[in-house]
Amino acid sequence: MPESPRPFDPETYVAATAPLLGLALDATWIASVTANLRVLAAAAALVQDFPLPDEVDAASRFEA
Amino acid sequence: MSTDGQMDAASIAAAVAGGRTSARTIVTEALGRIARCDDRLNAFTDVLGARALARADAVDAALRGGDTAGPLAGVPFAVKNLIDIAGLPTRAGSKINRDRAPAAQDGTLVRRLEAAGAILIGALNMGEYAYDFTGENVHDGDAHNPHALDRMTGGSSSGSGAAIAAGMVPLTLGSDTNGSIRVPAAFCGCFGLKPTYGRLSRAGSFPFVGSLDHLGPMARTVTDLALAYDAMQGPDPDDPVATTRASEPALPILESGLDGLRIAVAGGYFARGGDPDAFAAVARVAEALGASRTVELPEAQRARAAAYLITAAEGATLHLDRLRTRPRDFDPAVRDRLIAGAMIPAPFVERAQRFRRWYRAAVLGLFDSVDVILAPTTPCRAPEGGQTHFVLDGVSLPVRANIGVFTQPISFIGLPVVAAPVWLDDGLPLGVQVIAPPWREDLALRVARHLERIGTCAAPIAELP
Repeated sequence: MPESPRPFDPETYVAATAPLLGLALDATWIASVTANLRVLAAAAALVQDFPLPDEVDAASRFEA
Repeated sequence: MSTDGQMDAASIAAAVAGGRTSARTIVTEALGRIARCDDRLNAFTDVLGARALARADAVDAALRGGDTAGPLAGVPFAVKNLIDIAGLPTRAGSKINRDRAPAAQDGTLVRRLEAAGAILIGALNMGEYAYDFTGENVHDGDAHNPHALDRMTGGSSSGSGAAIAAGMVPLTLGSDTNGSIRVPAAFCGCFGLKPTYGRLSRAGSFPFVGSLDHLGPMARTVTDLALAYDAMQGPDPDDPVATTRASEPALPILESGLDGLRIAVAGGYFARGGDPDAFAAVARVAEALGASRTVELPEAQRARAAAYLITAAEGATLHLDRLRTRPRDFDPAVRDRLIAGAMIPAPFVERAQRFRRWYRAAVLGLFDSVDVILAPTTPCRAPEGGQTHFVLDGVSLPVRANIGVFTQPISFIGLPVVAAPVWLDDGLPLGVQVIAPPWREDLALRVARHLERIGTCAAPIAELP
């Protein structure tokens, strides 16, 4: 059995990801960025939680 | 003939075509209203007096010379400042974009409206880079709601809503990625059309989220929406998602009434999480239409979450270079949302796009048995300017991120919507979304026109203090 993943730590994630993206973050922005990331993580969890058949691919050109 | 801001676009076009007034008179009066009102509203970022008067003179001269009047002859209009205007940098509500080169030509929709006789008179305030539902802008100042100056206009097409509600112009253009036409239409008490995704060209506009961006008109009457919509339709190779369908004019069938249309109210997600007034507005419209059936859009909350993810990721991708080089020139609230969006793992975004495909199919199935669906536009009336949180269903939530809870699941799959204003009492307006299947803007416009004709929905000009 694989181990369970560690809980998401937005502060660590932001600190690690910013250099990859070439972003220099002011320390005073971190609380706001991580707060936004938490909201996005919750949204992502909601979407991930919905079972989709493998055959449902993203439309390469979306039409309403 | 003096218009004093009371004439709608159709009346102006008829008066100009009939020789009862001139385009120059109309434009001069509109410029006067803007000069008198806009210091209190901050709807305009650019007023193009010389260009508009020159264009008005050209319209008048063409009519004197025997040319046929266009359907929008002499109608002054203004556009959200993310739409290109020749000679101006397209600022998109930002500080950074002011350094761009001036646009070489007008955006496609501006050119199409002017080809129909309309006259561009200015550019309108908006939330920075359209990532906004409030109407607040740290660079240009906040737009103010003409019906209550201390209240939000809604955004991000803030000036587009305020200019209509104040009677400064009868027609504006806005953009709507997650609700940015429909929200200010609700808060400012006017009509707005978010067409089907791909219906109207976005060429010559500054993007936000290519997967979700739409442009559309705002006005005080449904007829004016239809006039503008019809004038702007048509394929455009300069927009990669613009439809190749031929124009499908809505005006000829606008007065068809309900004529057997099957209309239902969106339940479930769309019947909770808002102030009781928001649902009372829907109930009033449903009663007026004799709509007693309820349908449930499946997984609407997940749809909103997926739209939220795609918006954040695509918006961040668009702005990544600017976030690297000029982060301090952003509105901090926008910047920090975009930075977080840049950090979303790709599988989350891809999953959201796959879910979009599933959700589209599920919702389209509803239209086998209904023609039009009603839902609230916003969860509340216009919040106070500067307000950061509101309480919905007993839960305190950030205003900025949650005004669009009812609009996002609809634009997520590109459905056409008319946002119709409802006045429950002497207070501020609310909005109801009249939602139709893809490519059936005509149905949403017909129903909205019926609501307007029977007095359920209206867009009065605000009396400014």
